[in-house]
Amino acid sequence: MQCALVDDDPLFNEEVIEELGGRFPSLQVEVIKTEKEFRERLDDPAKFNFDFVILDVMVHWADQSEESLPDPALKGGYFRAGIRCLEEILKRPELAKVPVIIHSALDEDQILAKVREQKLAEDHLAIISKRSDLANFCEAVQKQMPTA
Amino acid sequence: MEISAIERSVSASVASVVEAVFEAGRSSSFGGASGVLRKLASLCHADGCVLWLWTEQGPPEERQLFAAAEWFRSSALLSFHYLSNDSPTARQALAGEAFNYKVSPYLGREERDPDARAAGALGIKSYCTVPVRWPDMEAILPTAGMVNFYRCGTEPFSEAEFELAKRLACLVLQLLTDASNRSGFAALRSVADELRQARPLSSDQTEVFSGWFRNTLQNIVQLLGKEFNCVETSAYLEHPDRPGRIELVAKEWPWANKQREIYEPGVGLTGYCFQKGVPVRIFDLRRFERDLVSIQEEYKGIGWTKAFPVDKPVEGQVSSDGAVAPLSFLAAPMMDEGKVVGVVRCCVVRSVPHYFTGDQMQSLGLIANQLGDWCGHNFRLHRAHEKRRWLEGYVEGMSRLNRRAHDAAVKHKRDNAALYEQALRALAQAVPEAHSYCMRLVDEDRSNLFFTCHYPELEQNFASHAKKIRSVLLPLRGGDGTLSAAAESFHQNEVVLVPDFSKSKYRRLYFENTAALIVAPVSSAEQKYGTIEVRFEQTADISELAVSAMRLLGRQLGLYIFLGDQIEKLRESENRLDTTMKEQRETFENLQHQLKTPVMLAHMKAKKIATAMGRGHRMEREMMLLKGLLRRAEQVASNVKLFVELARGEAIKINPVAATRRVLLERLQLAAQELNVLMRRQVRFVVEEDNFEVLDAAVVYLDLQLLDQMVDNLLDNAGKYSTEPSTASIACGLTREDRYFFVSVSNKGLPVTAVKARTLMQRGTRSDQAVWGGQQGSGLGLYLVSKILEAHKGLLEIIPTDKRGITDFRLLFPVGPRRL
Repeated sequence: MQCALVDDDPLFNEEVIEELGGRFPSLQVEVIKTEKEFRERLDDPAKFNFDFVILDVMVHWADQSEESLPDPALKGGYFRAGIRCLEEILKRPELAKVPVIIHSALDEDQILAKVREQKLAEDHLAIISKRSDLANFCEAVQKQMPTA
Repeated sequence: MEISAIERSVSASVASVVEAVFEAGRSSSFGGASGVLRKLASLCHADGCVLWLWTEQGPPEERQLFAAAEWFRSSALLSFHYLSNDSPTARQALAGEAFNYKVSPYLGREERDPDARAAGALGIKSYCTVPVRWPDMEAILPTAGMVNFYRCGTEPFSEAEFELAKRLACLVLQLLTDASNRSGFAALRSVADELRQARPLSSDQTEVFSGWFRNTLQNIVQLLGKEFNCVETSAYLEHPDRPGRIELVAKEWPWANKQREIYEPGVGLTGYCFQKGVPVRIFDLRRFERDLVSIQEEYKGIGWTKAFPVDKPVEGQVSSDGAVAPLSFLAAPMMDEGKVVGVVRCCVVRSVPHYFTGDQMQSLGLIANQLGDWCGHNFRLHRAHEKRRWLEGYVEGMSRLNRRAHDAAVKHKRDNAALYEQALRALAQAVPEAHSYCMRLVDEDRSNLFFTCHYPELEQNFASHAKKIRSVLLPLRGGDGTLSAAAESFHQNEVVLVPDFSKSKYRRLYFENTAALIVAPVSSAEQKYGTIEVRFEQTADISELAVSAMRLLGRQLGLYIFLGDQIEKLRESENRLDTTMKEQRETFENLQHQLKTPVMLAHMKAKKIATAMGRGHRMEREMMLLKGLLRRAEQVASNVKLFVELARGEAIKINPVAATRRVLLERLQLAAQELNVLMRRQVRFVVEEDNFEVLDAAVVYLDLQLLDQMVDNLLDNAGKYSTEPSTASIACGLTREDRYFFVSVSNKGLPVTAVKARTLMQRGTRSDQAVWGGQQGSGLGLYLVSKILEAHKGLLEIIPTDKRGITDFRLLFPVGPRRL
């Protein structure tokens, strides 16, 4: 099983990968550090073959080494990057049922408010705060993981 | 005493004459005079009876007796015939004596004497002549004329008949005057009835000289024609909207040639009557020049424009001997509240006596006054309707203007062009008689007025001119000191009136067909914006209403522009406030996130350490990470605390101590070391230990904890924005002629220009790349650093990115006196 971890905090990613690796040995976790990279992967079905997705909310657009800025139509800066990524997933009918876990330092009701502001479907969505224990996080992942 | 038979006969004769006079009064005025004379003739057994009256105008020595009224059994006419002053009748008239010519003195003189010829044509053999006098003018005139009784037979008048003639003749003028008066009263009554039935001017009738008004006057003119028994009757009025022109409104005009339709006051007999406000009565227009002296004695300065076709008498106006009836003229002014509003005139009496009497003049005067009252009432109604229509139009125009301004304010959409156009449309309703309307605004440096809007749109063939006008500036100060009307209005902030350009001090530069102009300023209490102008093609009698309307509209438009500017400023402030609030929210969200992340990670690490106790190097590494995370959490917390204090307007409190080389170096090395542990990017932090010995000599006071905070902020930025792989250097030294000690962080990363360097210290400033592509950051770091340095009397110096790609951030502290 493969999962995408969309988060730009390397320290947190280390912890999460270690925890998930311990709990789900067969799980392969691929880190996507920027929104730009996520969108590029999304546009190429061959490169987006994840069984579920873990999204942080505040993610940067591109790596510092790149001279890259997004379409001016995209509003909200990096404060809403994860929500935009969720929106992009839900726009694609073939991906609408892919489970998504939002894992962010923001409070859960803050995250839910942002999701509902954009009127996004919550059927395959779970929200868990980074304040919560990683064990709880793994349980939420387990619930969202599609059955084999 | 028994009344003698003669007396009874005379009484009966008088009674029948009186009856005849009443009958004359019932039929028409003097027109019934022939009936009266017929009655007299029959009572005296005469074959004819003529009332000879003196002409009323002309030098006394040139006055003549003329046949005012007549009756002949043979139906011959003596009408208009003038008797020469040496005729027997004239001599008797001058003497004021009656005479019985048993043999006509005209007999045998027909060839050389026109009077004799006329008498001969009538077959007159004898006649008696009796003087008549106006009842109230006996002291002034010895006689008004003579009544002659003629016989064509051989038998002259007997003494008894002569006596009867004398008795009856003296009644003639009195009775005919009474009849005339009754006729005059009848005319007055008929006119009053007509006016009573007339409809008042309706509110939708914009042209006063039309509809019921004109029809009523036409009916009255026809009525007067009948009552005064004249060929021409006309009514002229001064139009309330076109003063100075006396216009023909109703007429009875029998001649083929065109009647004069407009008079100016003082021109012609009609104009004279209007200008002087006095009735005018001319006995015979054909004798005008002959009688001019006496006429002008009565009517000072009067002149005749010869509008009547004196050579074309109306049918029935020529006597059997070829004489033409007098062209008698009568005009009376129509008065309303002491002011002349028009003239009613009558000309050419249709039948005997072929001239207008003084009583008729008085009657016409009364009728004219009645008409004047009625016309004045309708003119006032017209002005009231016009005012009401004007007011409705003005209110409608202003309502539309208000709506447009309101919509612009509510819908957040300012459309000045549409507002100005609507203002000019409202102006067009306020001053409808103008030809064009335009608006000018002052330019930014307030030295010229430029043309901004014109209504109606300038015509196609004027387009190039319009383009030129739009680009032309109207100087607010003329080179030779002269001002345009618009400039004067702008400067004085008052309405400028130019009722006649040709007589004003202003020049017409671009609108050559402008004859008159009103300019009003567009201003508010705070500011002058420009002017609005209306132009007239004719020289204008500018009304107070127009001036007031323009003044008000200029103020209103100025107010709308002012309000629009204020609303825009408020919106900008609101937007800025929204942006600031949004930035503030994002900043707090970011700070919250920054604070939570290291704390959460520290919590995780602590748990790991607890479970990994005793596992050697891994624990040490985890401890270092934990320490680094806690340091980061502390840095964020300190930033938050400082941010809140600054937001509250509080000063930063510093606790400065003397900085030594050893202490400074240790703190910087620790900061670098801890950040290196945390750093997951390929960026290393190194302390350049050169130059720290300057602190052995220089005395620098600084708050060490705040120094840590500043250095952490700079290192944090360097960690986020440095390219990979790279090294960020921490160094120190003296600068600015050794007046300042600096601690610097240099890195290779996002380029910073000199311009950008200046803005980076502002709160919340981050480059676009940093906003989207950088690491976490609230944009506060450099801002807080600069504030801390301010508290130290130091400053933040950013050396822009050099050719190597290195940017240098320096913390400058003032150096105290050197250590000895």
